[in-house]
Amino acid sequence: MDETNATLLLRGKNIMCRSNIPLRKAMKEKNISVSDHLAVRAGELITDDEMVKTGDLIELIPVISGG
Amino acid sequence: MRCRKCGEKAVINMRQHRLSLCKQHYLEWLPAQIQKSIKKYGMFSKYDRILVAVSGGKDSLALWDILWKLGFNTEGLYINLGIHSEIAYSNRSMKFAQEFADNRNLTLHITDIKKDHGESIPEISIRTRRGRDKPCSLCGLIKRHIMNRFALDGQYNVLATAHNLDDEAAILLANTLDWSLEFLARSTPVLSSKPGFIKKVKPFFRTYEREAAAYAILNRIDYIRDECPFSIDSKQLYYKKYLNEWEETRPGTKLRFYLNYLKAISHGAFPGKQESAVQLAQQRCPQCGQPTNTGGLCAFCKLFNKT
Repeated sequence: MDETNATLLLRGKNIMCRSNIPLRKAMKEKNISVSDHLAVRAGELITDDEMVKTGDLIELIPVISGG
Repeated sequence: MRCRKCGEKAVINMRQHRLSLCKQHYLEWLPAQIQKSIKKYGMFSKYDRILVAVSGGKDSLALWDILWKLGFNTEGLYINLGIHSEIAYSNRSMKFAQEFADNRNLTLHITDIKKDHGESIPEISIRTRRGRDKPCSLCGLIKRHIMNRFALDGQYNVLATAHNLDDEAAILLANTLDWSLEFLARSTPVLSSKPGFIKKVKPFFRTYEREAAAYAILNRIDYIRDECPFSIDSKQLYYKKYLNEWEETRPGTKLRFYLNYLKAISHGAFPGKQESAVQLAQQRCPQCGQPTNTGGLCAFCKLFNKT
């Protein structure tokens, strides 16, 4: 079950992650803060309890800015 | 996860409010929250001329969009800081601000510090010690000065900035760690007008940064997503990341921290400090006429005075 068959897209970089787990878990496994990002799949904002599906491309949009 | 109001699929879960909402109800909920804050804190009314400080980022464009939809009389001010890095940060963010205004037939004023004062932020940062050490603090000083002067000269009633809860909590944490009493006394959502100072308000002071971003994304507002190259490794970002770590394990930490600070202020915390900062600034800069607490040139004019 360690297959990485979904993709998180963060700041132009593809990060492979597991599927069939909640997005929150996928992000935590990649040390990505859930509070610091919003997630968009197929052009729609999704919540972090959504299951990551095989072949998904989920864009993570950083929401924290400084200055 | 389902929308608490209608049972449709939720697009956002706000753990701090124990509230998940669908797109339609979120886009109704956030403006209603902002309207409540504006009313409760007496920020402004439909009769006021409001200058909105616009950076081309998600927060300021989301705020301007909400104020516009609520029917307030707004104009925008964009300050081109001349940050022409690899990502052409200033010109691109200006383009986002201009397109936003054009699409809604709103008035956007643009000032350019290089054209008006001879130097851009990167140039001043290289030339001055303060800029080399703390470019964000220098940038803040310049923006505050220009916004205040522009708002007074243009006879606006109020200046609205899009400081959100994450901004306010990070500043509050920094000022608490430093025990900067004067700054602690002035981290409030409304700073009333005083001679030489425009009234300043922060309608997003209860809005989480991710809520503002969600509003922008759901409304398909194009904004600059790149980080200002000068803010990478900034102290504010550092504090924000820590606050968000606490927020993950204890939702509502940021909100409680800031709202309980406001409660303490209303119960008389830091007495006299808010007034003392204003009283100190009763002298006028001989060059620009803006308030200063030094008796000579104000900090802004000193910065551009190379002699």
